[in-house]
Amino acid sequence: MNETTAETQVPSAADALAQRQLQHVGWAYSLIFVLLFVFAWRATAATRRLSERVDELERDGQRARR
Amino acid sequence: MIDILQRWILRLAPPLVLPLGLASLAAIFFWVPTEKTLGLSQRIFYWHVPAATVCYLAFGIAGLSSIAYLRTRRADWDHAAHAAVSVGMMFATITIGTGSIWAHTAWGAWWTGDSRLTTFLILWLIFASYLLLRIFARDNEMAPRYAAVLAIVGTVNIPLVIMATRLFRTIHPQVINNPQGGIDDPRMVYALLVSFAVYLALVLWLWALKLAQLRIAGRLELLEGDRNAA
Repeated sequence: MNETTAETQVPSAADALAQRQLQHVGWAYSLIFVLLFVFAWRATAATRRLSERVDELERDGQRARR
Repeated sequence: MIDILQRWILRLAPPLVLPLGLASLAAIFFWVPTEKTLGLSQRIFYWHVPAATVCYLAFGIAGLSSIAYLRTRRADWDHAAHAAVSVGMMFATITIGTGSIWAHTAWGAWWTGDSRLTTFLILWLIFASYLLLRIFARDNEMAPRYAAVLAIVGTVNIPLVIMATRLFRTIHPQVINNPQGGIDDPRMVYALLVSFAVYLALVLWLWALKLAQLRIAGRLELLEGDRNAA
C-alpha cells in the first residue's frame, strides 16, 4: 500500500522535464508581458506629462501676447 | 507625412493588438501540437521569432530614417529613427531574454558563443550605444548626426545576423526553411502567422507612441527656448 503511494507521488523523468519546460515557457512569456507593459506605460505617461507642459506654455504665451 | 502615418497607426493598431494577442496565446497554449524534439519549450519560439523579426524591422526603419535625416536634416526623421531604435531595442531584449530562457532548457546554458547569438549581441550593443549617445549627448548639436551614422552602421549589420546560421557553424535551431523538419504541422504555421500579425501591430503602435512622445518633447524644447529668449 505504502509502496503504491510512493510510486504515484514520484514524478517520472518525462513529467519532471515537461514541468521544467513549462516553467521556462511561463518565465519567457512573463518577461515579454512585463517589458511590453513597462514600455507602453512609460511612453504614454511621458507623452501625457509633456503634452500638459506644452499646453501650459502655450496658454502662458497667449496670455502674454494679450 | 510622418505626422499622418503616426495618427493612422495610433488609430488602427491598438484595437488589433488585444484580440490578435489573445488569439495568438490561445493558439500557442491550446491548439498547436507539441514539437517532437524540443518539447514544450518550443512554445517560446512562437513569440521569440516574431520579436526578432520586428526588431530587424524597427532597426531597418531606424536606418532608413537616419539616411533621410542626413539628407534633409529634418527633425521629424531624427525622431522617427530614435523612436524606432527605442522600440527595436525593447524587442531585441525580448529576443535575447526569451532565447536565453529557451537555451537554458534545451542546452543547459543561458548563453553560448554561437554565431547567431554573438552577432545578435553585437547588434544589440550597437543600438544600445545609440540610446546611450541620445541620453548623454542630449545637449550636443551634433548628437543627431552621430546617432544617425550609428543607426546606419547597425542596420548594415542586420543581414549578417540573419545569415549567421547559414554562413557559420551554429547550434541555433533553424526552424523556418529547414529541410530536416522544423515546423511541419499547418497549425504551427498558422500560430506563427498570427504571432507575426500581433508583433507587427505591436511594433507599429509602440513606434507611433514613442514618436508622439519625442515630437512633443521637441516642441516643448522650442517653446521653452522661446520663453527663455523673451
